[in-house]
Amino acid sequence: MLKAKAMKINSTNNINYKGYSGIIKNIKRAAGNKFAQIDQIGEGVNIALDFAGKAVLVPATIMVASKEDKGKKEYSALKNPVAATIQLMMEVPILMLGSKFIENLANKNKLYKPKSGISYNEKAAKDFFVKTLNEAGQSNSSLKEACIELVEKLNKKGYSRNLKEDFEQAIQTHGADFKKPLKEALSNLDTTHKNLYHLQNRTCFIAAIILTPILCKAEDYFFPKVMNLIIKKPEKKQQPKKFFSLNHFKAHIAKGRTK
Amino acid sequence: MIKTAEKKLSTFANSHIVKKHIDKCIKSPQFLTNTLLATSISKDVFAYTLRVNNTLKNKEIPEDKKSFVATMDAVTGVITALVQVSAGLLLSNKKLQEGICNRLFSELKDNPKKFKQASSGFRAVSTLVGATLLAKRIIVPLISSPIAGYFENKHKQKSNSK
Repeated sequence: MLKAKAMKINSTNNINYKGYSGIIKNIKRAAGNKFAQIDQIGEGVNIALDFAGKAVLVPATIMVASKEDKGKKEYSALKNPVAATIQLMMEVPILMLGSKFIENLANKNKLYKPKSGISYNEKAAKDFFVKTLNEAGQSNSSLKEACIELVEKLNKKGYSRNLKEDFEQAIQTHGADFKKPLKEALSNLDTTHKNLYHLQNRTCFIAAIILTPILCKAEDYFFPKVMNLIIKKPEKKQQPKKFFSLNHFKAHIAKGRTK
Repeated sequence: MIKTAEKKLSTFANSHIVKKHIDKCIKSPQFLTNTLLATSISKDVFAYTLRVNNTLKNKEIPEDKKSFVATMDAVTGVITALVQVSAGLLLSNKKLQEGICNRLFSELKDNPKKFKQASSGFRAVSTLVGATLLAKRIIVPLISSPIAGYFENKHKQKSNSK
């Protein structure tokens, strides 16, 4: 009983150990679960890391390690976040719009060639899986109930590794009679989703390479303008008005004499 | 124009190389990580090549300084590529990764599937973070600054002797 209280088990993914060593164990488990959730890493992560490095790490390294004078160091350090922001503002739209364009083409079956045997049409694969699931659900009410929420999630948020695992679990528990067709349809959806994802990434990489000369020109054009806005030229120091000076005194005396 | 893009994209998507490449990316997380590393490095190399080319063609830069500026860009480009490749290879090393993952995810050993997923996720993230953040953004500036200083001094000495 005491042991059970000391080690409260919420689920297989989340075990709360107590004490100092328990904290470390909890952190390790949480880190493990987080890393296990990483579905796919693509160009988006690459762009984000590149931006973080240019915008934060390079200026910090320059400020710490450079032996130049402060003004030069600051200018050189500021150059990087500005260049990174310009790059981000150009690369992210390329990735997003390009990915959307490819997805639309794939879903309209315009990338499909029967001879090649590779499919990118995620919408068709999703529809086929949901149709198979509905057919199975007609004679298996427990499977239908278990999958209602999952299908809603699939329609709203799209396909993910976590969702795949949840479907697999539901099929394993409730769909004994329809395991084979359901697993095949799910596997087909998984492969098609990954095919499309990798095609989008590689195509956007090629687009980014092709657009690099424009990106460099844009950087050259915008960079001095942005820097002029950020770093203002030092204003000329105005000499403070003197209320009373030797010249004022002399003028005052002279004025008195003339009177 | 869109029709042409559609046609070219369809040919590209169904080509043998792309099919094979996507298949490998799905099957091997290591290959996927290496691909991302290669794309990051190739973007840098291409950008530096462009920069060198632009410098050599730029008429506003005085002739005596042109070769120096271009050499500096080329040296930085080569260092960036080399450091990223070596950091990537070192961090994605199987033995090193196994050692770190065994220690870091010891709590997941009761669930082999999750342990494998966590390990492959960690390998991808650590390789990319190591190569594109630590190596490219910290080590490269630290290495290239003294090299730039060395070349600058040499250049000054040459112009003084002339």
